[in-house]
Amino acid sequence: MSPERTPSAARGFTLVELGVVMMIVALLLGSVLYTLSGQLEQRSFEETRGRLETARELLLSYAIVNGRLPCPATATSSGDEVPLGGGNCTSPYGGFLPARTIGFQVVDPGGYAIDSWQNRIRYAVSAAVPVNSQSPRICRPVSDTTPPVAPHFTDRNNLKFQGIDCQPSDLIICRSATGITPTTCGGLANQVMTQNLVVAIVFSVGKNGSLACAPCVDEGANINGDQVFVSHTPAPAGATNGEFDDYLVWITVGELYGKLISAGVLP
Amino acid sequence: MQRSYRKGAGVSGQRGFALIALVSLIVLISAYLLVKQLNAATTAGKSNHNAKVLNQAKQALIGYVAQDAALASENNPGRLPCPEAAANYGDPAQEGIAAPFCTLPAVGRLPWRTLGLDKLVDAALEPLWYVVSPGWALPSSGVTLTINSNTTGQLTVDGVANDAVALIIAPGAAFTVPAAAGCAARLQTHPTAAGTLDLRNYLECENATSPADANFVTTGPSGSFNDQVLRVTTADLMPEIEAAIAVRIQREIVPTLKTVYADPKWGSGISAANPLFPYPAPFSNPSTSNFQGAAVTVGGAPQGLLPFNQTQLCNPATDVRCTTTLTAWASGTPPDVTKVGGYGSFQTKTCSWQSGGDDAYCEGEYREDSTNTTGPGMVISMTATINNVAMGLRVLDTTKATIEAENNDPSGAPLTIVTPSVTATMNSSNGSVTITFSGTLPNIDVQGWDTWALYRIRLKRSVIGDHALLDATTLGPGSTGWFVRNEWYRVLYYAPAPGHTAAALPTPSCTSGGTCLSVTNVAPANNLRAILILMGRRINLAPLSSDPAGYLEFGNASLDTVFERRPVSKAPNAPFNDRIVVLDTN
Repeated sequence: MSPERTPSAARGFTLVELGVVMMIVALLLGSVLYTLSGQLEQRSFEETRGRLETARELLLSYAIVNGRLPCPATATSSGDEVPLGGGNCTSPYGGFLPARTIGFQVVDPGGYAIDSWQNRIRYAVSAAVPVNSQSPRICRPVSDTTPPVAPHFTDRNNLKFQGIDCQPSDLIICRSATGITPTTCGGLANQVMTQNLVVAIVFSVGKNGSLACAPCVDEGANINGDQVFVSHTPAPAGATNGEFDDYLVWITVGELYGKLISAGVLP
Repeated sequence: MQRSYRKGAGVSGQRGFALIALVSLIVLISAYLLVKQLNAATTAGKSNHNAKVLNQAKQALIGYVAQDAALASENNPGRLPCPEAAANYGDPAQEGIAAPFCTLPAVGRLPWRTLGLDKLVDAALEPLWYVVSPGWALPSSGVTLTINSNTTGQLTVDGVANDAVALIIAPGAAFTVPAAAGCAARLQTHPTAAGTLDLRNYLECENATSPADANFVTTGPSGSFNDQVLRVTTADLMPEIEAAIAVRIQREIVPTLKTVYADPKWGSGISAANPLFPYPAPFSNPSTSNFQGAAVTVGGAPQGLLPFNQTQLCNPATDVRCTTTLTAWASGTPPDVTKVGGYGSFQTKTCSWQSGGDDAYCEGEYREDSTNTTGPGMVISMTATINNVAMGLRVLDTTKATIEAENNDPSGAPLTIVTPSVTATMNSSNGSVTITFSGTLPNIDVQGWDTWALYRIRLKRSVIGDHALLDATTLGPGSTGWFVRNEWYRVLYYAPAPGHTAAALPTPSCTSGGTCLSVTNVAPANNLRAILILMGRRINLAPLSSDPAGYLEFGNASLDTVFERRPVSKAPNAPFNDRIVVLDTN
């Protein structure tokens, strides 16, 4: 018995050996999982970016077919633009992507387009109004004191008849929320482009959904319903203007007019 | 047992080694294949990513150019932005902003911020580069460009001359470029410090010629070239620019063009409600035409080029459009002056052509009328006819008709300038204009002069001058100089209704559904008094010729009184790029 037991005892692992092995396994597993979660994060980001690009393309296609950009959806419109048929948008700067109007496929139960973190994709459109009496003709933001008339980019007739010399003058993207006003970036150095280039912005509020961060200075500027937006590379929690993981894509007036001209919709 | 076990172990170990070696080999080979496959997938992925961002940049660039061309403030419609100013590199507040001027051909980074784009990067996270052809961006302040449908891009790409207007390039990662055919060896580094960029650190081979020349390539020797190049050609750009120009012609040129002969001063039946249009120039090669109108019809209607000839402030030796003698005096009628009213009479009269035949001039003495020493003085009048007025765009310059009177005693009263009244009457058919101008000379008795005085009456040929629309020098919003400088008149087909040309005087008119022009797909189709057609870029790229059918498509190419508007289409089997601009309707 004892000669047989001795080899068996020799073959078994000691507790220390087992501990070392388990530690190594844990380390390996940990590193794999860590990489995997990073990969998943990256995948979610790429997926969101893809959805925003799709949304951009769908908006341009919508413009070609309908001769105008859609209005944003509101929180109660189930993914339809408000008002239906365009014109004076109810919420030009603070609405959601009108998924049902443009035919965006990935939606939540409410009918709204969502990013890969299940947050609703947001959408802002220029509400600039053409001023025909001025030469050269300009498009004036609705915030001017003159009574609003149907804006240019969301009104089929205006877009057709005012034509391609009408530039937007409201939407603007800034580098940081520091120094911005409700209508400007507060200085040339803070703006990503001049204020007559952007006709529409589509953006994801990111993984944190713009709710988890405090202070939310930069992200807050994107959901406050005004015409000034902030876009920069992601910033971690604790950054001066708070965590930032919003991702914005936009349509320039040139891209829109270029597509509409080559499709024969304009001029 | 132990022995045989060891023996067995020995044999098994040997066999095992062969197995392990074989397995390792298989694993190594499959790993190699896998890595190669993955690598290929990554390369394709990178190239796809690059293609995507290059295309986005191209669309934004084309749209930007078109939108900018549509602005009334743009003096060089169709111009491209310069690359990012070299000094803006590395400056977060300035990078991506186009330089206002650049030495052409210009190679630099894409002015993404000017275009309104995000900072697009290629698969190697390098910002995109951008090349602009000579003639398509502003080289310095005060320079103007000539961009129209016939303008070619001057970049040579892959050995094809005049191939592209601009290039957008994904530069790829920096690497050590080995010398190869057409490629200089270089150790590329991407400095991070702000300041001037060396294009040789980003581009390779022919693309890296420094200073830049107009030759570029889209491929290069394997291992020495990692640029991905997207061409922007005139075929890409021109339809968009032409769309903008058609809008600007409608808004900025048409209102002026239809008032050239829309005033009763040209004839009693002519008015803003019944304007007259000049005769078109018979169609000929637009790059060599003299743009002189003629009373000819093609297919039942006068049609051809806009009669955009010049008679003043131009040099016939260098500009075929310039004919300083086009508006000539009608032959056979020497200058004369007659009394048409008032009190007084001619004492002497001497008439002659002066200033090399340009001025009709009479001078002499006139006497008092002793029977009436208080009434108006003698009214004198001169009449002369100038040919070929309706063959171009002209104005009546009444300052070129002058009447003077002077006391015969030189030490007496100063010269009296009489303000003449000038009337012009356009004559039917040949488009000549008869100018009559008259003025009341001072009553000699009222003036307290002697019994007679001197008169001089002069009519300069420049009484018929060039219309302001022909002026190439005007700049800024509301000006029309861009139209002349960029020679868009060379790309315009022009057709007035026969009833609105000089042939139909005294009252220009046409009947809707009858003698007016008709444009299919324009509502109402049948009441057009005159139209312009922006002929656009020659789709088949045939050489410039004298055949309008080489420029016009579908219903417009048939050269009759019915024209056609269709959606502009690049469809290869049925392209159409004529843009109808309505000049006037009933």
